[in-house]
Amino acid sequence: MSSDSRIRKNATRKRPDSALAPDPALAPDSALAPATDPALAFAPGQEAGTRHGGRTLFVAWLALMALTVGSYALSDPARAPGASATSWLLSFAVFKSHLIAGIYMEMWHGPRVWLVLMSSFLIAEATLISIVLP
Amino acid sequence: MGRKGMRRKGSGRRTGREARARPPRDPFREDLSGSTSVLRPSHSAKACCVSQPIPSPQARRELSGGVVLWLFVAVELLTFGLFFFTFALGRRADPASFAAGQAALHPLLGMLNTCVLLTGGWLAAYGVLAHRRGQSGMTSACFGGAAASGLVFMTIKLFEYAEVLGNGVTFSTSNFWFHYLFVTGLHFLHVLAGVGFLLPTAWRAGRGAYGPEDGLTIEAVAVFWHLVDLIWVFLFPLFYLVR
Repeated sequence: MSSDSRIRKNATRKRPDSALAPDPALAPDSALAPATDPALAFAPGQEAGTRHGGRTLFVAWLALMALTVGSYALSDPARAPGASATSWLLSFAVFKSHLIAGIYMEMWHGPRVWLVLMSSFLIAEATLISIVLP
Repeated sequence: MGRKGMRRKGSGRRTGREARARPPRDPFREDLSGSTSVLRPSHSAKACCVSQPIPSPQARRELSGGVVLWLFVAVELLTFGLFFFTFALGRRADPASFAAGQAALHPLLGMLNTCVLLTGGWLAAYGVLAHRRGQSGMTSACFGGAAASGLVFMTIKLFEYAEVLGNGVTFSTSNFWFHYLFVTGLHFLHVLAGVGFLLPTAWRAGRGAYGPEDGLTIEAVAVFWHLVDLIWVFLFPLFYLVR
């Protein structure tokens, strides 16, 4: 039997289950192997290749929804007097904007300068508005 | 060489020729294998094998979507911040007119719109996450859902505009209505633009057109959508709730 026909015969033969197992020879030393540099490791709870896990995004969404409903409830004059309600509403808005910018827009993992600038702007904006509003 | 010998050879360490002949791996798969690195994007076997790992996004500490987009975000936030400040000044000057105008709005619809937009923002953020996981279908679904939330928002807003304009309100009716129509109209255009970005991105993602090298595109679309959320988060209490 020539070597070509033997290879063809082996190719059509049903492979044993062990042949489907991961090949250990595919190598920690392979050029394609995952890097294991601890400096690049993610914090606990984070998923590989992501900045925030799906659970974090969901919790942030829940918090945003709760703050929105809370804002609506606060707008009722019977629940809170005008000036106090305004301060609370603007505080909720600042907190919501921090959640959106920090988690959804991933600023908490961006450069610190941008985070500080953004946070300062949002707080300053809300403070100015609350001062100006009657 | 017998069959046993051939099997041993096949299961052992691969020779250089076999390694070169191996089909290229899905670049996304590398990122899912528990690795904290991603391969430099390439779909060719040769480039794939000589690629170097790059640092994870967290290690890089880069802005999602790129610096240029964030300069645009900063300009947008400053612009809308100025509009909000002039609204507060106008309200201070003429509180009665502002209170009368505000009484004609529907805070419940405003809250509904806020929830719709925030849900869209969550979907967009999850779409970015899915893209990093290599789940093109999920990316497409999430971005499509975010675009749908934008369409729902616009439908509710058009209903509000129809009611307001049907009552004979125009830009010149009062200072409140000028601010309301101008600022919410500008925000409406941003939502329209966001939907215009999200829909083609969702469609292309569904066709598998985005690889790991297109992360910036996906992030940029999501960041623009979050900007729309961010503006509305201040707009909603200021126009609808603050009494």
